[in-house]
Amino acid sequence: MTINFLKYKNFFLVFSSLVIIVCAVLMVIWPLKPSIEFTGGSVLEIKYQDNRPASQEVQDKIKDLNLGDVAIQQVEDKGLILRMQSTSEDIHQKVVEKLKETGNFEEQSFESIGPVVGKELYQKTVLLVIVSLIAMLLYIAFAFRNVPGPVSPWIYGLASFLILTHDVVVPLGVFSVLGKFYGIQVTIPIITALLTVVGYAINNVIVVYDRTRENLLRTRNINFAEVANISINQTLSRQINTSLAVLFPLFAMYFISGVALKYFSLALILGIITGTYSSIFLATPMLVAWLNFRDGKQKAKGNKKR
Amino acid sequence: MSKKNIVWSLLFIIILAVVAGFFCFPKYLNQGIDWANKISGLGIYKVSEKEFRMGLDLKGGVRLEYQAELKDIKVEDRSSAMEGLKDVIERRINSFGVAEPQIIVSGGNRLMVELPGVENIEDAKKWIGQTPWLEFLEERNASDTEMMIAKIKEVQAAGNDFEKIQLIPDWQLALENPYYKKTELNSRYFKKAALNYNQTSNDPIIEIEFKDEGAKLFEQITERNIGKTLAIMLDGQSIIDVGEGAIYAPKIDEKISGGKAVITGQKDIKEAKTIVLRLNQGALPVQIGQPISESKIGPTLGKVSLNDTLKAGLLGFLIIIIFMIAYYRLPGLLASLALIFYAFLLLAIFKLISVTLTLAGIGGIILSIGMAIDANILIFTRMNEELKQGKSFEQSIEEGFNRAWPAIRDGNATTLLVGFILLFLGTSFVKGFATTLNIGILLSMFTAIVVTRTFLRLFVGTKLEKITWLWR
Repeated sequence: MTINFLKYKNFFLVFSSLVIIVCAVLMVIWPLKPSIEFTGGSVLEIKYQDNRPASQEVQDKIKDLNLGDVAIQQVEDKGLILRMQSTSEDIHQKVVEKLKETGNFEEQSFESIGPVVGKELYQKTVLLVIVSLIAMLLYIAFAFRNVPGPVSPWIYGLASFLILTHDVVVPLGVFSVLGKFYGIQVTIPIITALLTVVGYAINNVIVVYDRTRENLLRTRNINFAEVANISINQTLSRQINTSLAVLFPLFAMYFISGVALKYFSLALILGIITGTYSSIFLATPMLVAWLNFRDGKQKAKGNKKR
Repeated sequence: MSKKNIVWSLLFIIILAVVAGFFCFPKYLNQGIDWANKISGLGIYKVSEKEFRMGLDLKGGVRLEYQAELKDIKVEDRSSAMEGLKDVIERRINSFGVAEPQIIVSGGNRLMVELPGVENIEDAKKWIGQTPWLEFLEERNASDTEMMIAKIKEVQAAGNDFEKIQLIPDWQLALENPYYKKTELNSRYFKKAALNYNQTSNDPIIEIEFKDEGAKLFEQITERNIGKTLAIMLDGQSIIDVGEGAIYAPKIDEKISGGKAVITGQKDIKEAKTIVLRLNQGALPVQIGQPISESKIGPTLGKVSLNDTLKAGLLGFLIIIIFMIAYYRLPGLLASLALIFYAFLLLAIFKLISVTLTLAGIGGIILSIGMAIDANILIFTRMNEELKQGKSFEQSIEEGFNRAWPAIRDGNATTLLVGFILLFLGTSFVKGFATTLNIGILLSMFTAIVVTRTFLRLFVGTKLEKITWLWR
């Protein structure tokens, strides 16, 4: 059985473009919330033994300490996370003392990062993302340098780049919504997850492009669209099965593990689902669409000349 | 490949698996050895029960990051000053008995200190806090020493009762060293130390130099102490360990003017080097001040994270195995065996090269398992296609591997590429993730290509080969 994936290619291409635009708009109106690792600040995580107090009660308790804006997030049944500006150990102890008046709790973790370190880390991360994207683009262009057929290796590279952007922008859009409504911040683990998504996405794209390359070598005469569609069909079970194999442990991690890995796995889950979709419905159809566009243009040119 | 070679590589895989398995969980092997020793009376040695190295986020502890003030230090001396600072802090922490502290110099002027098991940031900061301080001490006269030893005994007799101790007249004396007393000479007057060698005997010589005011003080001290010893202490401890309670103290042979002196008689070059390094720490006091970032993870949070993550990993692993067998039948079962082999080998490697396992690292492991499975899936899909085209079983295996290889190679190479970029540019969280991911990816290629293939080849020419529903 061969499914014609190219029949609705324009629909999927337009749909995904819209999704990217929506995510981009979301990120503009509800900017991502960088964690204290990037901005500097302090985070105190505590777990009450009995009932935890209301956020307002906590705010009132620590009001006298002049901590500026303190964001309080409730986690699980009895946990609280307090985020504030970078404070000294002295102030940290005072906060803990004040909070003890609201009930007995165990201090789970405390972290304080100075603004200089935050800024440095931010710059480092931006550099990291740029370097990895460029490295992968070059690798694709190099790996496919001998690809036969009407599409040049650089177009394969460019298409991969667009797909990577798509696969990363979608989870980022989700995190901007999560940030707005649940105060979820973009942490180093989430950035790491997204870089891994890039790795997986490129892996998926390579599998289908590699098949296309092989089929083009084997059967020189069939037209490109036909070869492309066969290749999608042949790689379909792999794309789905591999994604499932990765998603199983990730879902287990999402549901079982604590806050530290929860959003890390969520970012990966979103990215991998998006990546599987784009490797099937976008990667090769994009090449065919480009080819049609180019041929159409050439025809139009030819017509003019005539 | 001939049948004999297949059996050999299978044997190799099994031995590797057993060794790796026991290395991961030596307790069981040692129980076995105990049992064997009891029965046979042979004295077989037990294997070492080395533990996995856990990061702070799984074990709990304190992490502090400092930025050293290097403004007053010449550019060429900065890296050695940082090394010196690291050494000082290591010494201080060790004296407080923290297990496996990690101290890392990064970015030229940053010092990261990780203290597993420590629960109080304030304590940790106190241990690390001060600037290295060098002191030179001269001998007390015999009657003083006698008096002080008696005082110490008196205080010791009072036990731990602080109120009782306070009743003893001059009890504070017991806190000082009974043999040496401080001189005015300290860090402030010390210029530098250098290592040299005796031209004929090749023994190390430690050259020391004082600043102008220090030279005068040194002259006075040496003059009044000829024939006696001069003790050197750093941070209130002997500059180098010379046995229980003793202090490193070279003998003064003559009055020394001009502020330059040599210490001879040290035979061990390594020890001499350490003394020079530590003398210079005192001479180039690097200010570290307040930490620029600090974090603390409670011991329960670490334990909960570890348990949860392990549970998640095991559950995911189990579902993968069920899925693989349900979808790919016998090859799925073989891939699952290869995967279990992979997991043991991976853990053994982590233990062998002491990779610090963090939450991020475990995330990397779980992902690398996905990559390992991916290679198998690619191969089986190809194999099935070849089988459907009516090729022989043996041909299908070989073709399946050959055709799947470019995709496996390119996919792993790009992920590895990102992995290495993360390793070189990343922060400690990112590095933990990238380390396990990279090792996992390299190993996964080995298991997919060597292990799964050997398992499949075992079935060539057997009756099972003919039962087609097993294979697709």
